[in-house]
Amino acid sequence: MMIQMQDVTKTYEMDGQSLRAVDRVSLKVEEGEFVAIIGPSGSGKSTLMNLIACLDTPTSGVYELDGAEVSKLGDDDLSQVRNSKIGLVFQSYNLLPRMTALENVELPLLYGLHAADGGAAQQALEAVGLGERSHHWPSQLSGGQQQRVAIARALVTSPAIILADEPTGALDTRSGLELMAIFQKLNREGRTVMLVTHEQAIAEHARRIISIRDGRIVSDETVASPRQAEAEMAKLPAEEVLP
Amino acid sequence: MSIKRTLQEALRGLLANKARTFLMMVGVIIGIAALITIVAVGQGAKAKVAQSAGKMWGTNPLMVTAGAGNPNAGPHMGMGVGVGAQTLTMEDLQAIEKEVPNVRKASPGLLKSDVQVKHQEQAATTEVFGITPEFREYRSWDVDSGVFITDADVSSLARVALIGQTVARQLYGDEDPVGFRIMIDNVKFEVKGLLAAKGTNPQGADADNRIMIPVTTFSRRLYNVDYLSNIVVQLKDVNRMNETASAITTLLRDRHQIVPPKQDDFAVRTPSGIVKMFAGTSQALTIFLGIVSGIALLVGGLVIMNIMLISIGERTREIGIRRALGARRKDILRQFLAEALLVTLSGGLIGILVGIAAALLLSAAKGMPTVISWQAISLAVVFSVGVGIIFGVQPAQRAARLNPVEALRGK
Repeated sequence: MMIQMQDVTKTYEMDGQSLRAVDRVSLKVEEGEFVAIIGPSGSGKSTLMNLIACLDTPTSGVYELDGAEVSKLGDDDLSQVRNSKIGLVFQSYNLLPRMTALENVELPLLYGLHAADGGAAQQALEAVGLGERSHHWPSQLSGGQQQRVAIARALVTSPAIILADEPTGALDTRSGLELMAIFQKLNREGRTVMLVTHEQAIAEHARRIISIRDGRIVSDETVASPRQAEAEMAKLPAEEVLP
Repeated sequence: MSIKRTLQEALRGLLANKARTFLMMVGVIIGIAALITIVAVGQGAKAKVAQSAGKMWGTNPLMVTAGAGNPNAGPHMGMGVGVGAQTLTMEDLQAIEKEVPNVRKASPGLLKSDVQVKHQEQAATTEVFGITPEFREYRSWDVDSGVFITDADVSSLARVALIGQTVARQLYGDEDPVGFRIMIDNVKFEVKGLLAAKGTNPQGADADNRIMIPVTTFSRRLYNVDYLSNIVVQLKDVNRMNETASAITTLLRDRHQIVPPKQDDFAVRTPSGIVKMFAGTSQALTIFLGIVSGIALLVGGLVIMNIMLISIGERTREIGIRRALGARRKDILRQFLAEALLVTLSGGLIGILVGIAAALLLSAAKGMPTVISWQAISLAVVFSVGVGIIFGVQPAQRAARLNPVEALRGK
């Protein structure tokens, strides 16, 4: 079992009122799954995502990640869990602007006991098709390319799970599909992938869709035939050739 | 994260905003430069004082002067305190020589100020010293021309005089005065030698405005006195200076029947006391520059702290990303502390160079003696690191305490 959540609740105190952003959520994700969490803004999906990513700890409930309980861990241990077990991809790429693509990908290796070195970072960039852009600055890359660098950064530590928060939110259709194709490829290779989105069309690339509303899971369905990003790309009008 | 990588990350952070980094350094540069300059000027002054005190005072003798009073003050490096006081005698001298161990030689000295001297129509007012031939050795003071006073001059009460350059100029112009006559308080003397120039002593008195005659001629032929102004004691072993000084004090108290609360009617001076006295004069300057340096370092530190706080505000997002990727609080703390330390340390190094340049400039332009010492440089490095830690810790802690989720939401 990759993820096992039991009655996980996250409560925020705001102006004297307490707000349950995540309300007694129980959830199981097996290794090798591709799960999309979908919900409108304010549904609590980002909070749930932060809990799964070990960026935050639940107010109550139990969370086991890759066989170890993490809900009671201290800050240092949580940092190590993030570093070794989780590969995060954000909506706004979150690359450091004054580092090259390669240096950005190497960054997680700084913070853990990784045997991996610069070679691993280069390999990760090649896996997302950016092997030749390793010395480019983020500002020299398109949005889609920057997000692929971010995926390479998430992959470099060989994490147990890839977590993506609205990864296509800032991308055009084609770049978004390219990205989904990468996630689908990674999943086919056996990686556990979870993504948070508010777009049904994006969610339908996953093999399982969990809907969230008001901090609770309202549905949890297997997708009979997920959309195939590569096939969709082929149907798009021919891309303008960029110089 | 390894130290090397921590420093690399810190350097990257600093190079990202060079103007701001320089601004952070300015205070440290000024403070450290001031510190280096102070120490250079202070030590230079001390060295000069020690050197000139050594020049005036000669090589390691003790001096006993007649009369009470502050043993380390006096207009003539102690020579003049005995003027008028009649408490030291030739018998005291012989007792010192005979009874105090470690005494190699004790030499008598006499002094009279405001003495009228004449040569033909030229007149001058000067000081007359009664000395023995040992004076030449213990004061390292020889004649430029002619011959020094000899033992024969002393035993025969010879009417011979050594005259200082200032007196010589006043009475003889540019001529070599050796062989000429000189009238000292209307007694006829022959100029036997022209003393080497000594210039002004550290208190600004003209050391060349003096005449020296044999001590016996002074006491028996010229002024008919039976006391001594001072006794210069040369030692066998200069390392036992202090114990010898107290032995002499004990002996003289005994001889002069001084028991508390009666005050000593003599004073025993050591060269280190003299050096200490003059070192005091440069202390005011040192204190002033020290305050300047301290304020500059304090302000510099506060500037660093403020800029770091601003910078951390702007880099909240970066901190959030690093935390999300697995940086622990202490990794963030170390990164920002390393930035502060790099700023203060490189500011300190620039400050050291600026300080050395300022010290050299002071020596060149104002003739101020300066000494650049390793101690000063190490002190500067220690201060730089200290400022970095003291003023860097708080902002770095603030950065480390940021909540990852909120930091990721930040700009």
